[in-house]
Amino acid sequence: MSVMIGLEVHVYLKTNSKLFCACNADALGASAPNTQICPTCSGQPGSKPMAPNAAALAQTLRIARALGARASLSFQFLRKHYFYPDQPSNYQRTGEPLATGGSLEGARFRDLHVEEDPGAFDPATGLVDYNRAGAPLVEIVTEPDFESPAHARRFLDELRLALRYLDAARDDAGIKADCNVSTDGGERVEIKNVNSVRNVERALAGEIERQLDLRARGEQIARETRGFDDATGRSTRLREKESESDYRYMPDPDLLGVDVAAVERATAQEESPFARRSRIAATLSVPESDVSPLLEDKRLVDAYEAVAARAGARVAFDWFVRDLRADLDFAKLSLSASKLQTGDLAQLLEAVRDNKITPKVARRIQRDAIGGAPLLDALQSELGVTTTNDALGQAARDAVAGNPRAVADYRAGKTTAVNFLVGAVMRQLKGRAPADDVKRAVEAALAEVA
Amino acid sequence: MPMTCGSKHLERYVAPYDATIVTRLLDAGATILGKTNMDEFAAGSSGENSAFGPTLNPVDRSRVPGGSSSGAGASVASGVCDAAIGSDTGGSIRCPASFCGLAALKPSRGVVSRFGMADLAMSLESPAPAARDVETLSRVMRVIAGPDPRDATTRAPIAWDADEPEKLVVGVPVEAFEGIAPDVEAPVRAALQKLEQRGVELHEVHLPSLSQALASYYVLNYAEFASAMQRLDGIRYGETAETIEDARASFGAEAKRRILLGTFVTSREERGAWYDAALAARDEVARDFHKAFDQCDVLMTPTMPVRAFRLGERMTDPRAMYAADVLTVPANLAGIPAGSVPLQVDGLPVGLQIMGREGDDAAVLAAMRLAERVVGLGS
Repeated sequence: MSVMIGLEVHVYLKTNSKLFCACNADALGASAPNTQICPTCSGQPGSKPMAPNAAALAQTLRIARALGARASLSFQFLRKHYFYPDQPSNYQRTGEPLATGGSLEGARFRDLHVEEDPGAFDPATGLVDYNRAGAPLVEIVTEPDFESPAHARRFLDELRLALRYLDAARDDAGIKADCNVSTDGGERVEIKNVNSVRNVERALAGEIERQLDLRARGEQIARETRGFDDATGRSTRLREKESESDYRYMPDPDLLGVDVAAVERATAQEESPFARRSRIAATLSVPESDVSPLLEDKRLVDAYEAVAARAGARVAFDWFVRDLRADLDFAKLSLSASKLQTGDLAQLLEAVRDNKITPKVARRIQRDAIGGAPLLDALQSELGVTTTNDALGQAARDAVAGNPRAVADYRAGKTTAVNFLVGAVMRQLKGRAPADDVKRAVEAALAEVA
Repeated sequence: MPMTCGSKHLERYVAPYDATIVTRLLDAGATILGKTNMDEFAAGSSGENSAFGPTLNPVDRSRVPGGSSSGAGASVASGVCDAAIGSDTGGSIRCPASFCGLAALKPSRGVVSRFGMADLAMSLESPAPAARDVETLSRVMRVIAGPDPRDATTRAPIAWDADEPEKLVVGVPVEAFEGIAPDVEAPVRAALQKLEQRGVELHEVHLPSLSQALASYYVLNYAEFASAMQRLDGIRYGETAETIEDARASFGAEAKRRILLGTFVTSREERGAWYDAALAARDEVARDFHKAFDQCDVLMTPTMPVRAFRLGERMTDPRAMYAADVLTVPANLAGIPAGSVPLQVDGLPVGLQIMGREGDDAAVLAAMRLAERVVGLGS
């Protein structure tokens, strides 16, 4: 069996205002219905679009560059005509390709273009909310290059990673995809508006199964458009090919062409997240997937590279992917939302690298600093406290004397009892001695009382 | 105040915002008396297509005042106001100016903001003033012109302080005098002759694509109009309708005709033969003008091929009605400024059309001032 899958992914762009007017495009879901609207985005007679939002164009170009797509020289916004209550003017403004080409996870891009979102229509009540109308979207269209639902998922995970890194998409809005599926060279079936990566995989798997079932029963697969139901995981027919609309695309006479070259000049060049990941992985000789977690937040990679330059790549990488992410996750903060300073973090890890403090102490300082405590003050006072071998030996002897039960276990051949004693010493010394040293001291103390 | 656009459908629609030019006029101290009648959605050339009845020509009430901005023309001509604003998509202010004996200007594309002006054919139209004299017209233009972020097609400010040129070179397009009514051709030719005697240099020029202009114009007009009218679907405006068909029952015959034809010429099967062909012809018209302006400063033609006709005379024949626009639509296709000055004639008024280079609206106004002084009404 051969499967061909193509995706049209819709992503809400992160901008302050809508695509063709100055209305707020942020927190649209949180606003009372029809409060973030104006004559333009509600389609009043005589209203005109403003020039397309420069930030939306720049964000789309950044996404295109990250995906290796080539920017067009210029493009026009077209009117796509169809009647639906969520459309203020019964046409949608949709751009010709801003960029074409490039590929990700083996899937080629056909087209990246900007378009405006319609409003929201609730068929049950007949009510329309235009808050969303005119919000900027980018539509990313692939060639039918995916061979399986898992393949499509890998692509979407990578795409989402790039969008997070670029901070170009609205986190709260997620992604929506139209999925095109054909099996064994048959007709193409489109599943509209699937609203998460997981559901794309589910919808694709379900559709492939449906087509195989039909064929097994000797039935034809008709070209049609289907809708996906999140709750049941099944799709249902929306319309057949015969009723496909003619959108009567026409250049919007209210807008001038967009000079993409000007957008390019106004948008600073930057290293693509994927190139950056390859570079970092190569330095460390680790698989790229190990580096991916750092790319979820560009500031995290920036901080990593700054710290790595001072404290060493290996120390910094292990610290960032394990210790730092764990502490940030625990505090439910991003790096930028926390109070951590990159320079401070570099000094902390230099101290760890030079064995001036233990990782345990560093973690404690880091956790306090995430909460707002001054990191360098804490580091300074730790560096002033050196744990002498005498103090370590005394602490180990105290632990052995104070925990006869553990000592008895040890003597009975339960070697894990050592760990308990090591833990006790670490607590006593507030983590200021390296674990290996503590273990040696505990073993020496045990030998003394043996 | 309701903004009806001459349509039953918008009978009770009150716009929730002011047009940019309205704000500018108010800021400049103008008094706005009211809104004026028009052909429904500006689709018409006579002023007879309004859902609220035809506008009469104050010069002769048995005749049309010209359209589509019929009320704008009639209100100035009857002395109710000093100036009025129409929308000129294919001659909608110049036609009433010609039929009622007024000065009017269709500005270059992008000189005056269209924010707040209801749509007919967006790539062709501009708000356009009419007044009794060129001086008043110029004053209005200076107030309403200028860039507006709310209309993305507006351009950088243009200079208004052009002096009358020492030596004005006027192109006279040969094709523009074909098929013109004798009672229009004669006074226009006489006016040109008189201007020549006063030192204006006349040049014969050619606009070979003029024959395609009318067809190109109407196809684009239908296409853009059908697009613009999508929003009047019976859900948002007018009486709530169960179907789009019901909603559109309130439209007049001309509006319906244009929606149907506009949908047809942009349909997947037909667009190549109609819409795309019209766009190509439009480019050709613009090229012809460009070439003509290599040889002259402005072009002069009759504004309308006829004088004001009788009410009802052309209503049964849309093609005869459309033909009246043959000399005004080329300027809209090319985006160039075009004014109309009333000539000193016997009987019904006749307009002299003056067209200039895109963005050279000041030069057109200067030439209009000269024509007004030498051959204008009361000269």
